[in-house]
Amino acid sequence: MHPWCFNMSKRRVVVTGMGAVTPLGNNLKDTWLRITQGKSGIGPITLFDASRFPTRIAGEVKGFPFEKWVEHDPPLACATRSTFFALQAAAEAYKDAGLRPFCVNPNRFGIYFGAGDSGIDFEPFLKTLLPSFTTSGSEIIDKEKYLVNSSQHMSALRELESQPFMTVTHLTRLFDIRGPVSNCLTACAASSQAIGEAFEWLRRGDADVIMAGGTHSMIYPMGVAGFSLLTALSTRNDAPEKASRPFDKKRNGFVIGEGSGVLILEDLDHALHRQAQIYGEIVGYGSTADAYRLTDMDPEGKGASRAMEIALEKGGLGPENVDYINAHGTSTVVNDSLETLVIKKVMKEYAPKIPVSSTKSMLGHMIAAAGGVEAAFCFLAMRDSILPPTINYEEPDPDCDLDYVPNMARRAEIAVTLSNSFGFGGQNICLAMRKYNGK
Amino acid sequence: MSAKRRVVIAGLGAITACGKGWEPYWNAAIQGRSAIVSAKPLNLGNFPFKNAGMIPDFDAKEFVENRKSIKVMSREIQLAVGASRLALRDAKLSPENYDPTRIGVTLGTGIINNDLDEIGIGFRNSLDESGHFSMNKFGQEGIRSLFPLWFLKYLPNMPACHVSMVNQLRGPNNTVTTSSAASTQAIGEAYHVIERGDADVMLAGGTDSKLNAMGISRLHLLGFLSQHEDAPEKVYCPFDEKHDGIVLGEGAGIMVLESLESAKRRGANIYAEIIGYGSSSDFNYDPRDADDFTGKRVAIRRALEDAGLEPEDVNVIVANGSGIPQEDVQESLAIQSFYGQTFGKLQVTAVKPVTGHLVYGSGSVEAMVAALTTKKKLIPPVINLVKPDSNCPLPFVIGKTKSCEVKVAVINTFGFGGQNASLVFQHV
Repeated sequence: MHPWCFNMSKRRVVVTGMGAVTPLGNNLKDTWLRITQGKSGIGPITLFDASRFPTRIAGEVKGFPFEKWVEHDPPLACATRSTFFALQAAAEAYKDAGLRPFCVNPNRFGIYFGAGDSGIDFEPFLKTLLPSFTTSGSEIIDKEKYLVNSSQHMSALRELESQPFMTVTHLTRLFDIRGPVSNCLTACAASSQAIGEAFEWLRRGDADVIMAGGTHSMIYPMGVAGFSLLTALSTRNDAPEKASRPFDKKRNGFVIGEGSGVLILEDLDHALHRQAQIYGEIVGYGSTADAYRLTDMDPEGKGASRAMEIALEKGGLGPENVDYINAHGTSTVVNDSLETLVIKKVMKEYAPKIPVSSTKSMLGHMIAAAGGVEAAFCFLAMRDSILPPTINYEEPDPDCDLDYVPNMARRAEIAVTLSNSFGFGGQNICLAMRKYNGK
Repeated sequence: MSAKRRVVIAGLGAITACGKGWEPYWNAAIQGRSAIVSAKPLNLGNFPFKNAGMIPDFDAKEFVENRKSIKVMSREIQLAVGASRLALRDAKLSPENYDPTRIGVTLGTGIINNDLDEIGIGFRNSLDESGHFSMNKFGQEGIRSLFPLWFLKYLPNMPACHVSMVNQLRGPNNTVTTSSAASTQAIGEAYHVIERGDADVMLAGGTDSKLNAMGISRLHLLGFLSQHEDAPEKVYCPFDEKHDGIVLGEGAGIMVLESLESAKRRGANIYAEIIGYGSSSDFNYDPRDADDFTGKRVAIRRALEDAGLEPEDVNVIVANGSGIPQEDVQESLAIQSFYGQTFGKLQVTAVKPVTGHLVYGSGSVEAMVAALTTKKKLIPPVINLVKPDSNCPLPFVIGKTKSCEVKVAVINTFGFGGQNASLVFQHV
């Protein structure tokens, strides 16, 4: 018996509100509708001129009302793209949860976020860097010149806003969050980890309500360059909507997405007391590290399978209970076959019968924000009895032989779901969620 | 049945300008010695950045057997890996005597700054005939001239990943990015992980080095850097009437947190018990409002409540004491708000002048000082504090180390964007 089994008397955690900004819509409702229709949000990169980059496609957020936010709140003037996404998704989740001032004690309202950083402020950086090249010697950049130029061209406030914690600073200010505060940044696992840690905070009794999730945009020159160099990105530039194809034999890398997913987690008794709507319950959270190699996943998937086992065990669940798995499913050759192996290992004889899908096939990989929207999809799948599909599934790969809900959403009764998120560098997160049946 | 597990500190590892290991750092603190030196070796010419707490002789090869992997480690990662090895050694833990699945890592970091020479090559190869930057050329030639694994050196989660890889730690792994509060918060989060039973041992702390062009430029732009002219060891003076900003340091600190049960079973040397953790945000954060200390007060209050203690129970506060006048004043107001006419047995110290400000990593080593005050019964002085700012009337340890029983020690760290974290340690 593991030590956490002693803690069965802990408080229960439910989700009472959700919001999202994704390549398929600027709210969760539109996003979910398009997800269930199997639509792709991937297209050519328009945020900068990527016409000569090895990868020229991404899942961009479209038609986002940045100005509306700044008009409403001038301190946001220098906020980053991903901070705006978070504010929009948070506002949707807050409203959806029926939260208003006075229905939650601000000191018992916390936030655990997985907000990504926003990279280099490119234009001012160029103005600073280009006149700072050395003409001789082993150094490329003259540091004194760089420092002097930066004082002229860079903006202090924009530099401050580019730090990953500033998203949370704005969220606490605008939603009057005065409880515990944290932001984690564990690459592609960040927002799942934030939701898992928020779940633990609530179980411990550190808050009554927690805003959890993540936000990220890495569709900028250095981001696309970095992932390209790691040969992680799909280069299917001529068919953007077909590029993200998890578990398909012809998959050749992931597609960068962007956006935000936010959940309102709440102590069950608190939610019942204020008669809030309840999407479902979070019952398990597993976090492990591969501790294997920097650029490779552990070929046996030991860490990933342990994360899934821990999530199940904390939730008092077994493979026989699982009705749906939202896979990490990035569309890279290695991840998808390895994740299949891991699911088979953990789910044993039940594996062939459990539907597994990757919504990244439609949204691309929203990096730190991915887990936030994927957890939301798990709750919506349970509410609507719909399995979201894996689109672009055309040719089976012998290494990927599970039921991936190919191409079309499917009706099914779903009471228990898992969501996997694996980070670059070997963090593995699994969340276990279940329908709330009034008991 | 649901009794919370108790968590103790069973090992310390630090790499700072004072040297390698926690001992040189602690010794410098109790001897009132600042390791800040002239920043001339950074070759910044006439740029007004004169002093820093630099680690002069750090060589990652001393800590990492696999030479090839050093190439993919930024300095921040190297320092963290070094500190992790020192911490495990100090705790007498090695892969032979632990279950790797029951040990995890939580570190505090943030943006790791690119080495400008490394990315500079990519930009130099992206200039057109007239010397202007061309995005097309960058997409074709610029990218290809970068080190293929360049990106991985600078992801914020990489210090915790490398620490897990080098030491085979397969338990929970997390990276907290709440500015200068990040490392303190990482220790707090790791304490929860053990308390709830998800691991028996956690390596917790943080790492940072802002002693590079991008780091210095950002803090300079924000106006946080001290311009005070004096001998290097004298310039950094938090809470003094001459305080005018921070002096940067670099370093990493990692502590071994362990369940009391596990530490007792293997007869570990216990430094202190961690009994409280609180975090908050300056929810009405407005940098112009010098008097708004409520967020800071809430973090301290929350940590004390978590520990089941009252402000009167605290012997020592290791203050954030960044040296930014406004932050020092806010912190003073926050601490004062708990006490009436008298501070009772409370003593306040601040140790950033020992190493320089470690920014994301600051809580990692300062928490060691707080823990060590309970073990060693010594409270180091606030270095360079001669005449306290009249707006900071706290019971400071001034001049030399004070010797006294310390049952409860608190550490505060506050971030530049309004993040606050406090921890409470107790003598064991």
